[in-house]
Amino acid sequence: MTTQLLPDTDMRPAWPTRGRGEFRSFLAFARGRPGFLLGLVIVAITIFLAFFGPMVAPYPPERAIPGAGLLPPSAEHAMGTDVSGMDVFSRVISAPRIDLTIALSATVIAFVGGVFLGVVSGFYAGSRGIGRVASEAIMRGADIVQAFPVFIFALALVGFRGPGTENVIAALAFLNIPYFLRVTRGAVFQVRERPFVEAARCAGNTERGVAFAHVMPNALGPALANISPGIGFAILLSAALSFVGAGVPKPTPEWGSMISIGAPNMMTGQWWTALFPGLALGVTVLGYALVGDGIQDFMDPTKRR
Amino acid sequence: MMGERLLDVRDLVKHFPAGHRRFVKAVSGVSFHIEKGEALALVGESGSGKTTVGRCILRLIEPTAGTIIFRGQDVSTMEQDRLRALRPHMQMLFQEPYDSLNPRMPIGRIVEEPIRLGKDMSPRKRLERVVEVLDMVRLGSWALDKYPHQFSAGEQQRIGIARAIATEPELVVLDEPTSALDVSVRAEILDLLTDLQEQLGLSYLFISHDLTAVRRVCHRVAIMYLGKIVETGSTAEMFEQPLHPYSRALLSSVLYPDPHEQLSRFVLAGEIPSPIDLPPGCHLYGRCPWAVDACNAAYPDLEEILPGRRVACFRAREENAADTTASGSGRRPPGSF
Amino acid sequence: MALLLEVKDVHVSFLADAGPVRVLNGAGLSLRAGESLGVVGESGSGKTVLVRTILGLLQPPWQVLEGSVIFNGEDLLKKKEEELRHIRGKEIALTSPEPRKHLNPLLRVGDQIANVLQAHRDMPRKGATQRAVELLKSVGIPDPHLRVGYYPHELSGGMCQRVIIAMALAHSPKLILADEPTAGLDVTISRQILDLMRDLVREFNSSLILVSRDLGVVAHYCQRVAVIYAGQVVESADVADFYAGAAHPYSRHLLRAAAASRDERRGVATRLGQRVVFPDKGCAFASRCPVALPLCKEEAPALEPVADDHLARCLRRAEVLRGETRA
Repeated sequence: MTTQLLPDTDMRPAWPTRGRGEFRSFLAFARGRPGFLLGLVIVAITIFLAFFGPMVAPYPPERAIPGAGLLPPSAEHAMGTDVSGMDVFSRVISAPRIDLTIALSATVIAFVGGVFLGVVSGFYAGSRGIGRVASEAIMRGADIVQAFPVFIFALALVGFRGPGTENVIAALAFLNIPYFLRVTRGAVFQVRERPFVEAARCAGNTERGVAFAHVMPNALGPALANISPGIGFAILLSAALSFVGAGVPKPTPEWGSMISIGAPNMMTGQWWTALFPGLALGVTVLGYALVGDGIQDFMDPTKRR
Repeated sequence: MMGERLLDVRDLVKHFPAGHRRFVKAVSGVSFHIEKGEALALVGESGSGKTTVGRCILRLIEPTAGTIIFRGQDVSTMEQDRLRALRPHMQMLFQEPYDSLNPRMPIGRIVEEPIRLGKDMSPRKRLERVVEVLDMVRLGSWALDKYPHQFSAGEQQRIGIARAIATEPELVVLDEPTSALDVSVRAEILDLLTDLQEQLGLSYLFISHDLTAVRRVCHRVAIMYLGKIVETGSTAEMFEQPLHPYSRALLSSVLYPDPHEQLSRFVLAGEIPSPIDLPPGCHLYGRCPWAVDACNAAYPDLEEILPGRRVACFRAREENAADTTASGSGRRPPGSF
Repeated sequence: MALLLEVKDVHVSFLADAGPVRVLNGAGLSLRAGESLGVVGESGSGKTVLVRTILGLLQPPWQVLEGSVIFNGEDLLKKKEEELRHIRGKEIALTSPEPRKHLNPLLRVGDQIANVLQAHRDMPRKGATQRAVELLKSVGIPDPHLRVGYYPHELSGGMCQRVIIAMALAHSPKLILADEPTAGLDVTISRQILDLMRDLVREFNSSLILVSRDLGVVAHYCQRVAVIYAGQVVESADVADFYAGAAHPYSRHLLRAAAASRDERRGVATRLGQRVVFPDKGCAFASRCPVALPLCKEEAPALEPVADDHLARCLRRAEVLRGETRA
């Protein structure tokens, strides 16, 4: 019998990893976890508001009502009005459109990039040849990015590319990559020592196959857990950028800028201008955190029951 | 059936760097062969290098020197692409039943993977093959969609066996396949391994620290101590009369579940030395009750002192002859420290 | 002879996310002074938990639900943490299956032994260190005056286990609980440790509970044996009687499996490699038992005498002992 080289025919697994009935098992899984359900509700509301927020708002969120500055909460203005006379409630429920766009896209890009770089740098650390060079280069790059003060760095990036939503997203994604990279790299170090990795080599996987089909799925946990804080961090940082004028342009409803604009009013007794966007921000971050935890458990078959 | 060499290992050496230009001499010149359909046991304690030998053969680690001829090809220097093409012919069963299975893969995919990567088969044929091997290890198609943690340790090890035989390999390296299992499961796994070996004509390299575990499965035994093979012979003869003092100590340290059995007094003194600073002569010098000064000067070669029995000991011929005349249950034990 | 220790009907559960898991389910055993008892069971049987219960070492989420541990006439489960501290290490000592993890990596072994000595005895540091050297010598460590200055990572696993034994013996305790003392050790080292332990227990006139999964170890180093299955002691007997003929089908299975995996004979007919299940009623072993009667699934048997000084938890114990069943 001659030794045949690797066949390049149908290499797809005969097994779907997640088959039919997956949705049903997801529902069963969610039913037993009230925290996860609460998170799902919050996430659903924010997504709904991201699409329809400005339409269901009682007042136009970007237009000031003449002579209605700093009114306390009342029947007409459930959350009062801000210093320029805009309805706080309308602005709070309109803000997810821009906040979620920025936070989700920035975090997802950072997650994908960070996990990829983390797997490469963790899996090839200590190996020989090109893999080791890549691994070292990635880590030094992350060191450099993290060595700069976060805020200055974002400011410089936005200043260099000019203000605008895409540039805020790019800046936040870039800044978040090292966090996902480091936690993934740490997890990869542990996973790559486990015997099933050797078993994967024996099965005939290429090194790339071992890294991405076997090590990566088992090293995603910490990165997934970091998504929710990542989203919170992104919202807060974009607020700070808005505050110094390097973020989203002013009248656009955005929780961060509403908090920073309303903060001085807190001290003079008009608590509603900053409190309500703050609460909305907090509840949203919490919702994503709960969903993140739940998804992490769901991805781990040993924790599903 | 026998007679043709499937695997031929010559002068295998493996050193691991240990910092400060020092090396852990895990394997220092090991030679042996396995014939087609033969089960060879490689027995030794921790630090003997037995596991390193197994990993070198499968090229999970790179050997420092030596040749490994498998199916007529030198595996020791083969590049990765050709090595991967050879993977379906040589497989491994791991010590840890649970940890050697990817916890995020269903059983079907775990068992299928080596076939998918190594054989040109349609998905349908692969599924049939997976069900077939699961039946062979006395699991069934019901296991396909389940995950590793849903099985007991014994069942997990049977899944590992199914994966190892899925590609119809010629050689399976068994790395302590029963040492993590409870006694009642251990016997069952050993039976299964023996059955499969006979049915499929497999060759085994059975790595173990427990001489008795290999007794039923293996035809021949090679005993390792600190990176060297100290004795080889057929399993039956080895259990009948171990010739090397280390083999003898290993065998006499087995405690049978019988309170009336006389415990052998052949117990080695002291600790296993570090494989970084090996003694200049025989590695057992300092623990061995037979040792003389010459033993510390040079390492003895493996010599055939009885037909089919090769032993690396200057004193074995003399001491064993003396022993048989003195109807020996071993010598007096060395004084404790 | 008087009983030194009597563990009666101990129930322990573990509070997992999904609810409490029963681990000990009415376990009991007794030990006479000067006796060595082997506690045999497979992984998950609860043998380690039983040992830790005796010393009151279980912390939440572990929960002792009921039972008593009578040591020297006093119930240890009723004692306060403060009182237990005077007993641990002094009256009852514990050795670990993982000696290296049991030692503090940042302290020299001599200091660790000295700390144990000073914990229960008013002793100057110098005297304690001197005594530590003597103890290391008595457990067969070469150059003990040098080794007291070693850190645990500088010693092999076998040496660490010797240090642990030295610490256990520091106060000549009445009872030593040895939890799988040879689990991580090489076979040629195991014999040394077991021999050492047996000799020292004799010399110090202590009693020993040796927890092991190895029936070979128990056969040679204990006088009595207790088999534990699913959190209950299912058989307890003199070692010679037990190995000559066990009265519980599970014990018989263990013995057969141990013999089978030790020699070239084939075939353990029954397949028992499944998980242990705790039934709501009836005998815990019934679902795996080759000689179970319909009644066994209904009625839980008690641990009752089957011969002199020989107890078994099986309705058919007499038949099993006489070898009339194919268990």
